[in-house]
Amino acid sequence: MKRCSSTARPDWQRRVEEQGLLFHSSGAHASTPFSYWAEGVHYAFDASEIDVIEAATAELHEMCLEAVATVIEDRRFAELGVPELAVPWIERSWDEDPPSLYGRMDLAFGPDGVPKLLEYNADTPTSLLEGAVVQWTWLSECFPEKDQFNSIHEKLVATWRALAPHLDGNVAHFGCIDDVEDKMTVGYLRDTATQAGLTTIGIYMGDIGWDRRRGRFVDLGDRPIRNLFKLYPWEGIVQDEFAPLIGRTPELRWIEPAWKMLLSTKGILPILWELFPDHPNLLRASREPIAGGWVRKPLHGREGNNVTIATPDVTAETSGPYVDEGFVYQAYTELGVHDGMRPVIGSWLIGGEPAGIGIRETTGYVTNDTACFVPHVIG
Amino acid sequence: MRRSTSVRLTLLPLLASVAMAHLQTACVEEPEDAANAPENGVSADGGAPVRDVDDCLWDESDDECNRASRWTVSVGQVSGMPGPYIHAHRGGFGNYFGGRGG
Repeated sequence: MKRCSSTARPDWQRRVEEQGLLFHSSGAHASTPFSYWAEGVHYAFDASEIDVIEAATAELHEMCLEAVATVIEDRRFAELGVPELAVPWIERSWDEDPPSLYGRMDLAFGPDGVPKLLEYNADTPTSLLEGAVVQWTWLSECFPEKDQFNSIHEKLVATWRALAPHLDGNVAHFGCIDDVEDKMTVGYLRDTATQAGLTTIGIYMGDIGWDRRRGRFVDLGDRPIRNLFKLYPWEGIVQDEFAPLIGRTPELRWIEPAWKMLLSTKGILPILWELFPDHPNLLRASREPIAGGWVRKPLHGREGNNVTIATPDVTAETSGPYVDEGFVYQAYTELGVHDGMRPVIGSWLIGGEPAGIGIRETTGYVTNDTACFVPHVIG
Repeated sequence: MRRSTSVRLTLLPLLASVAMAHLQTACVEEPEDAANAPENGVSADGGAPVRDVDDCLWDESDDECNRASRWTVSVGQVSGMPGPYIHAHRGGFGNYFGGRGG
């Protein structure tokens, strides 16, 4: 893996905007504008490195499913911060094995060349359009003779087709909050679902209604919501006013299903280490500080918020709102430094299969909301 | 070894403008006949003040709620659904401070 320079497309801003990426030069949430889309630079991988990443992603996903089964069988929900209210939803969704669309593992790929799981956003991952579409278009225009680890788009469409028979009817609602990145991501996912033959309706989560007479969630047209893709985390849903009503609507198909909340918490990391100690693709993780240095992460933190690093050589701390929900400790690993930048590999699983990667890089030790998205090539 | 097919996108116009456009495509329909709906908290028959439907969200066994909800009906019908029905209570999702993806 090496970081390379290339010629920026003269009209790259227009090109990426045409594909839906509008915050390419500002970032979606950063207080200070920065170039989120890194035109003129890319990472190059050997095919053997991609094989390693792909295999590790598949194996880690299987391990994560075993960890979910362990949590459910041993009823270790409290360790993950899951309230009792949500336990029946999780158990039901796990038993029924309803549709699951996607997830993104964040991997370190440091100097030893062995991918290591930093965390698994299995519930509400973003940077999807950038990975699936924008970097592919960049490849086809800048390096048409080269390849890319990227079948994200095709697998999304195929997975929607595979999920369709498991849905209640042909209409799916797509919910999110009023956020530019989330609306972009949901817009893209609606596109892939439409290409798979579904009819989609967008709705803000706050606009979802509860119709008491019918005992159904409804949209703004008072139409019942039968299938709900939500780019809104389960840990948020369990705290919302409507949470007690979810158990009264078992017919509603949720995408992602409720069991995914067990993976989207960093609380799963110590359980993975417990089940697979010393696995080469895992970092030691614990509820207690780790001798020799550690990275402390909030259970449900995002964008690198509230992360603390304490090793003999590295200390760092970020601020944020995730201060009251508990933390896990993970062994520190070197991300690798390329031209002063530290990359993290976002490895996508679509329909349970490795589907491609997207890379975020920053100069700091914590990948936060000022990390750039960098495209990649194979070869 | 190629990692992706060469056939890519047939993106809809939706995508290019999605982040600037209002996401909401659901049609908002006003009730066609709000004659039975309460006004200023007074039931349509001029009786006792009506409790807000939000108060009745949880307790279906509450007779007062059930009576009240009769006065908070809209006769806007949903095709194929028995009516009349009460206006939906909204705002019960989406309030989590970390509610976006990542």
